[in-house]
Amino acid sequence: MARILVVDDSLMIRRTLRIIFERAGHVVVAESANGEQALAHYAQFSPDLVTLDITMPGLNGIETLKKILASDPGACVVMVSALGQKHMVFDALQAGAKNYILKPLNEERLLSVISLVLENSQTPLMPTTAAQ
Amino acid sequence: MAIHYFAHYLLNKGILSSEQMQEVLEYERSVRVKLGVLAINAGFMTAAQAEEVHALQRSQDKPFGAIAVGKGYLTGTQLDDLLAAQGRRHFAFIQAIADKGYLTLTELERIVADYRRDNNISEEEWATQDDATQEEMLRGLLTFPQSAETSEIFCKYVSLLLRNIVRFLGDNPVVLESVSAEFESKVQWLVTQKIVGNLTLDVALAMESPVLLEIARRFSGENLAEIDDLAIDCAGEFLNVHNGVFTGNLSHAGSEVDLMPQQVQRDVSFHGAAHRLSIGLTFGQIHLFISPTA
Repeated sequence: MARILVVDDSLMIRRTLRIIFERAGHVVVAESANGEQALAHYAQFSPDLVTLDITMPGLNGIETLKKILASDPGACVVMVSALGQKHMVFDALQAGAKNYILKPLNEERLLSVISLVLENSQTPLMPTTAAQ
Repeated sequence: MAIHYFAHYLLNKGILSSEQMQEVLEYERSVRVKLGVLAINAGFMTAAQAEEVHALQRSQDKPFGAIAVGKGYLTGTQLDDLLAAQGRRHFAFIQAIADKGYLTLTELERIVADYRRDNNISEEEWATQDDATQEEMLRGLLTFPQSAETSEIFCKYVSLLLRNIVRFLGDNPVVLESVSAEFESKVQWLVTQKIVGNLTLDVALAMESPVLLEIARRFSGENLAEIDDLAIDCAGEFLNVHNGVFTGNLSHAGSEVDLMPQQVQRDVSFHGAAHRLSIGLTFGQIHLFISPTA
């Protein structure tokens, strides 16, 4: 069981991720609708893992990722995005994300990546992207 | 599916009007495909034989399949195949045209044959088509007056949108109208997103409230009763996911693009130069506006 912070400007995605994670036995400690909220929630709840959207108004996902890692270099962050761009995957992993999942969400693939990241939380992993 | 492009063919040939096509799409939801249509489509029976069996059904209390097998028009194996195909939605479209009385089965049989011949579609291709074939057919049916490069992008975008409507909304879209112009109109709902980078596009989906709610229901899989924040967000996320797939495909082809956050606006005036496609769905219409960013 992990304590997860869900960060996405989409209410639908936050809801879907909460349902998937809670069904799998995890606890969603908070939902953040933007980067600023994510930073505040991270400081408040110290989650085991963060799911983080890339395309958000204001502070985008990559910038939010960098700030989280600046405050906690050991943070486990998995990027979740609709944006299937190779350079964005590279940028996110270079910035310190542990993995990357593309929308539309596949529950089995998502939980598999989350489990893998949690088990190997000390080691950067190869990306997992959805085939389109 | 070939059936979508058959619909475009009917519109382009003036066989059905946009209004008739929208009625067919909305009626299609309630259609249970009759074996006669399936038998003709599969090449097992002619339209004349199907109409003969229909006429006999009116005087005999027997199912279509039993009469057709008794007359030697179908084998038992063929009947089993047709019964299995009855659940396939795309045949409901042809059934809906016949039920609305716009075309008889004989006319449909002739028009389908003309369509297949004009587009070099084999029997196998009529049932299933790959993405490349669909894109090629779309290119032949829709004309974009922009440059060749922009037209190619528009064609890929529209082709993918039609496939994603099938994939994510479980519906069979038909392009009712395609026009490039300066537009000025007020819309109930406008979902917009910019694609930026070495390709820049403004895309927008305009729709009325019942259509937005149905898109939200189908995309989320939730039984949404009204347009609330969740429903609005679901409609925006549909466009976001579609654009994400599109930009992912561009990435594989070597383009570097980003998505700006999507927006959903209510009761908004839309104006500007764009290419507009009116897309008919079984639950209403959406209008896609697409233009290179100025």
